[in-house]
Amino acid sequence: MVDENASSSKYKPMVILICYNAILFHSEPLQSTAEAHHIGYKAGQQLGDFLTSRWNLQLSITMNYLAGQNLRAVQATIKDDYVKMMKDEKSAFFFGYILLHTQVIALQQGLHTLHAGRVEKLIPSEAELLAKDNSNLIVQIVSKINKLERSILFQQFSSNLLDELNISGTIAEMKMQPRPLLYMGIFYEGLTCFLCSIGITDPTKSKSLIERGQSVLTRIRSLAEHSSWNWENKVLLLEAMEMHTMGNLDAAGPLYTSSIGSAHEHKFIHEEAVASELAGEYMYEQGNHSDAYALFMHSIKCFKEWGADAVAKRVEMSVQTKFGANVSHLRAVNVSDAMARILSFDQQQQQKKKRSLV
Amino acid sequence: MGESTLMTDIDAMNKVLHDRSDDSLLNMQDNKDKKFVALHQLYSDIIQVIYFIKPDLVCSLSLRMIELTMAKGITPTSPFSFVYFGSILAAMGEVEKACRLGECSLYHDCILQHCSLYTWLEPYHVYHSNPTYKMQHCRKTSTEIG
Repeated sequence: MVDENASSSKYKPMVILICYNAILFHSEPLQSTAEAHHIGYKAGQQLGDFLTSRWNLQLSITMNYLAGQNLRAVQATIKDDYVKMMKDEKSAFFFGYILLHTQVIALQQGLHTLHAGRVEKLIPSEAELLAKDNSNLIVQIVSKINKLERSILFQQFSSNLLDELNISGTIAEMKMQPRPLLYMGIFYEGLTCFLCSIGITDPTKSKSLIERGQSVLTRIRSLAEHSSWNWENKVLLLEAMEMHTMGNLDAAGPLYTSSIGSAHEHKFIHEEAVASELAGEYMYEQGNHSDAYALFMHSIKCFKEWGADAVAKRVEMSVQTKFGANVSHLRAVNVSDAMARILSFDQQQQQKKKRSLV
Repeated sequence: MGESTLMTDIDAMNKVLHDRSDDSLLNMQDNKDKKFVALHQLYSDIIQVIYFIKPDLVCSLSLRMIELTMAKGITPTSPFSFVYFGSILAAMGEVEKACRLGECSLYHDCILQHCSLYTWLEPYHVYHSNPTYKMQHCRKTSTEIG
């Protein structure tokens, strides 16, 4: 082996950065990817490579956010490092922080914060950033992905949302290298396609949205082949939505519960919350109000645990609208027992599947 | 370099890498020739700049770097050969091959530094060989997050 050489160690942060951000996120859990970037950050600090170190830290924060880390922790880390960065006058990655900070604040406090100027005195808002520099392709696409995520979490879909926010098209057109955040954008796009198709009466438009959702599903399935840890719950959720929108309601139910189980097993609390809410909507449509109520309550609990208080509040309002004041009989439902029963049904299904495979 | 020539050369390099076992890739001979080490370092310095300002050229440059590494042996900057070429393969959809090179780059990077990352490298390999550890590892991560 090569003798220890002073020049060899200085590349460690960059090797970790490229390796995880461009390659190993395909096979490693997002939580481990975040951890690896944090090691890259520390290595960069020790070696004096502050630029790569900060880039690693930013990726670590982003990966933690995508993996469902508590939003208060994400916000605190962003604020800490943003202040340090501005002190050091090394502001190469400021836009990533601004976009993520805006997103986190919106999920915690509500969409009104997007138009309320600076929430933190020191950190500019996304609107300020876009007004200053709207030519940066990365800024544009990350901003679009965040907008799409907010639309799903707050269930606000404008009529031309999907034309405006064509993530997969932009990525293909610009030949952008695959990155975890971009794939998440594609996943949100698929979810939005299916969600929008439910409310549309025009069959041609609905069909084209379902087809677009299906093409996203194919893409996400290919990712799950390499890492079921990261993508299994997303594939199951998209499949459930696909079955739901196509009217195959018997197949949709087990897929929804499998998706909740998979998100729980793989520690994606935010996706567990989204899947629970969508499963609740499905159960409500089926007339199974007690299970629907339990799923909505579970979704609220997960959103609160994630730190998305504004989203939890939105689900609470939606429950009130659906069930009205007459929820006394539903309040008697033990949510954890009901969830255990719903998820045990999923486990039975999986065991049956395994047995049939054997 | 024309695009078709580049693709042919990438395929040829893929075949070379495919024919080498994991052990052979991880235990390649070192090259201590100062001129070669300097040349490889020069390529590494260039590719890091190119990565930002002209990403189209990363493909041909990384191919040249890995050709040199495979032909002449490991230098301190060889992890870059594996990692940049791996990132090109990942972008082309060859995820398994890319992951193999990614792991190889981390391995060489750690060895070159006399395992200063050893505490991380050990669970990394245990993680890959042991699914139970994989679960515990991620639970631990989530607990830390929570």
